[in-house]
Amino acid sequence: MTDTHEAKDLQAPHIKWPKYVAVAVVLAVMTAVEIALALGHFLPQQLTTLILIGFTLAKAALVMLFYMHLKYDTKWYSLVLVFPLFMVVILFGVVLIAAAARNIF
Amino acid sequence: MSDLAATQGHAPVEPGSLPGVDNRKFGVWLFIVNEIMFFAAFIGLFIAYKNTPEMADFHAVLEQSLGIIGTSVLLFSSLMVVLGIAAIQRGSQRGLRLFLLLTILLGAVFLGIQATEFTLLHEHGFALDTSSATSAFYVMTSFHGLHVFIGVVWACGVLFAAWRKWFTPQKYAGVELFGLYWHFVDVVWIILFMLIYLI
Repeated sequence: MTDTHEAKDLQAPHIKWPKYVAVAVVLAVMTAVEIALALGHFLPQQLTTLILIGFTLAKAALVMLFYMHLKYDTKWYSLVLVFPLFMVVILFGVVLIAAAARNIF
Repeated sequence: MSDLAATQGHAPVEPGSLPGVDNRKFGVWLFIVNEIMFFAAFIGLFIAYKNTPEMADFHAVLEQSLGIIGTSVLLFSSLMVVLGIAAIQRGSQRGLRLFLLLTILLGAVFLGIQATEFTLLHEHGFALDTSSATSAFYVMTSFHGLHVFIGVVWACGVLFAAWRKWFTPQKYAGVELFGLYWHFVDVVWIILFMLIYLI
């Protein structure tokens, strides 16, 4: 960790604004599809729920990768997230198993 | 070394820092990790009450249109923050101020929508202590609303700094750090929106 590794700006990567707008459009479209699926009842309930969870995780990932710059920043920031996300998966897993036992979804 | 780095337009690197890591940003990420665990507990509690009879009664009176508008507002506010960062990177002080102002306005609108939602639910007889399901809903969404409120106050501080031209294309970490927090609040709402209004 010498001082020589400060060869670049550590504050935020320089990303052109059209890319930010493109991500916003994708988020808006995904949200519209989510709403249509939830309110339209086109698919079986369980399949709809699975798709909605997938879309939600994808939207969260898009915001974190592009708006929070995890895609462009050093991987150290992403590594910080590994342990808590692992814990969250365990927590939700336990809750969902308990929920399934009561036929919640 | 720090002065030299600042004059050359780079963030100062403290001795012992990880390669390429800005300790200020790393600190905000650690704070976010802490918040993830908080919200995970509240969300877990809400899921545990999902589709119970109490939650079904409650869900029937929820205004989905308010949730949809609130989500759109918060997603749009996240775009405003990154456009503000892009603006200051280009050297546009005016652009930064404009996008920060829009972020504050959109945050305030979201809080107004949440207040309206709570008022409507209260009129239907669903208060914090009505049932375990309503408690789970109010605690989770209020905690998120508190984060939005703190974000709006923080954004006002960043706007003040922008007004005084404290940020330059070489020095804008204050905007970036606020942005990390604001986007995290947005990510949490993306999850809450799906859980509360869609499934």
